[in-house]
Amino acid sequence: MARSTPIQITRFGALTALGATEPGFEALIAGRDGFGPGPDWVPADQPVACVTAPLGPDHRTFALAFAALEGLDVDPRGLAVVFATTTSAMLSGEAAIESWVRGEQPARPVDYLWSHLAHWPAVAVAQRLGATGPALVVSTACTSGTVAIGVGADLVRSGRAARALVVGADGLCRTTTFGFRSLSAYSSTRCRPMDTARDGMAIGEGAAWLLLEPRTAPHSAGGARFTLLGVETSSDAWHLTAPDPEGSGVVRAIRGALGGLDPSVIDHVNAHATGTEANDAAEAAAIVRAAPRAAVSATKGASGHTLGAAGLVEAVWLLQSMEAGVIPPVAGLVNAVAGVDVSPFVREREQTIGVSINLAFGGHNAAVAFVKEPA
Amino acid sequence: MRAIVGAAHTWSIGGADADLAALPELPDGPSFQLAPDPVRPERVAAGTWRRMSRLARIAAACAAPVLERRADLDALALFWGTGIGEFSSTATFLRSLFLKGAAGASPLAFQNAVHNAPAGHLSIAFGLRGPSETVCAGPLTAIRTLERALAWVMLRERPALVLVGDDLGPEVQQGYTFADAGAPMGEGGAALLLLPDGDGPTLTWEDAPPAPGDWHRRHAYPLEERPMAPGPAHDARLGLYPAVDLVALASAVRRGGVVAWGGPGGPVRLVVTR
Repeated sequence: MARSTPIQITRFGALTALGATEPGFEALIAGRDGFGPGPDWVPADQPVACVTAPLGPDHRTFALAFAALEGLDVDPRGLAVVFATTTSAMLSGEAAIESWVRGEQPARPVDYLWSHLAHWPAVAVAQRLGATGPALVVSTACTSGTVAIGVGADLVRSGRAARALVVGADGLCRTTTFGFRSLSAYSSTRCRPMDTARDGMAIGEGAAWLLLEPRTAPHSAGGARFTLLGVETSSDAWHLTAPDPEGSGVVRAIRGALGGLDPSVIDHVNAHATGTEANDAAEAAAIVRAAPRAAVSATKGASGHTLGAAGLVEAVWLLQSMEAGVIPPVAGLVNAVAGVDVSPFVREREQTIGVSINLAFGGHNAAVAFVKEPA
Repeated sequence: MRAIVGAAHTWSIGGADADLAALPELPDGPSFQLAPDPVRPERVAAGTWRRMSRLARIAAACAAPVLERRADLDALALFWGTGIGEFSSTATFLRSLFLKGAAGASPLAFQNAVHNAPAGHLSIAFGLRGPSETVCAGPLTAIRTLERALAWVMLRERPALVLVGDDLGPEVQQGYTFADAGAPMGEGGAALLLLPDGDGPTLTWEDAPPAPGDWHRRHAYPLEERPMAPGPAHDARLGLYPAVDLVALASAVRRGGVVAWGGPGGPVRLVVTR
């Protein structure tokens, strides 16, 4: 495999609180959101967006991934599985830790540590599909999904894999729900990305996936053909949980993903847009500099923040938007921040190049750029 | 795949850059083999050090000597691998949550609970603004992180720091006890600076025959399966933990040879040529 071999996205899918791939996208375009009742342990003043579809008995993150991948038929020979997650089976591990902290023997002692180890979902998906390529987890907090796309592409380009299934999933758990609350980052009303009155983020759950193959592979019938233009990551060297206010790392990530193309070529940016004051301000500053002509979508007001899955959920929605020629509305938007082209209404817009951005704890940034090929 | 090793450093139960061959073999049976507490590198600000978890401090202790005199920290790529991850910080956060309620949950423990937190701390401490990725692959963590970094260096012809680590804090020890690990468990980390060309030992990745079916079964989902298989020979001196393969590789860079297998029977061997 030549290192310059173009990588195409031959298939993709998603499952969020808005629904599965097609109905979920239709709900997004219609301006609906997936917020509603969560598990009993979620406080009433913390909105959450949970998947309501029936899931299997596995750990919730795994079950979300399995449900999103349902029906996928892929050649397992040389198939790499790159899984993006922050929580893995943490919800199960939390029960064991709670018992131990309260002086009781956990019902499943092995869950105390083992359910917290991040790598299990990659192993589980590889086993289910019979994949014979490398299986690994990328866990860079909220950039995990976007970073994983780059890892999968490089595994193919370097000849380490024939194709790569890049999957992201995160289920709701106490650690993240109460963790963001402890940082005073959680909205007590609703998530309003890129709105001047935003007051914080809100967690969602979901799973999404892309199948990456070299350009020489046969393209699945129907639909647009998408090529991966690039993935780039960067670090702020600024603060562990707050972004560089100028968004310089985001700018570097966007420019890197474009591979030297002029920023004016970007038609559509799917912003990370968590709805926190700091994130959206930094990201807006970056978009003004690095994607001045782009229409911007911000989908966490509809799906909630799906954490490690966010990069893949948003990549799938970006591809669907490019295919349909629309810019999704920003759910919850009333007064937009200055300088960013967002709208509470769906807009028709032909798109050739789309970019999705994610920012994360650790001061990490990631951007992925896709090209829609002529029919 | 191959790259030049520009520098290497380890922090293990033998302390800083211990010579693996000089370490005694550990007694059989379960035990916890702690590394000495890492010493704050001069480059790391005291405030940053205070906020770091034990795992992040191990990572910093490994990285600091490798990053000395590098003029390209602003663009250097960092590939961080950890098998256990920030479990200690996660458990600390959950302890605060379950004992004190939502209002008493520790924000410091939460921000350290993500597996890439050590990479973030290092970015702040050393001014690393380049690409950053965090890989978790269980017992193959060191191998998969190295594989990822080698591919990146080869495709982009740019240098990269590959860094792995795992800690053995009290919460991790309790987890190993619950999981009946049954072997000497260790902790530590390693840093290798990989260069696309130049002078220095050459690291070559060679695919090995597939692992025996038994190996995959023993590492398999569901989680009830006994998770730890007997490791390669260096585990007997360093203790068993996911990052250990790269510690062995880094400590052997100085003498060359075939230095690591990615788990019993495969899937890779790494050759250092001086």
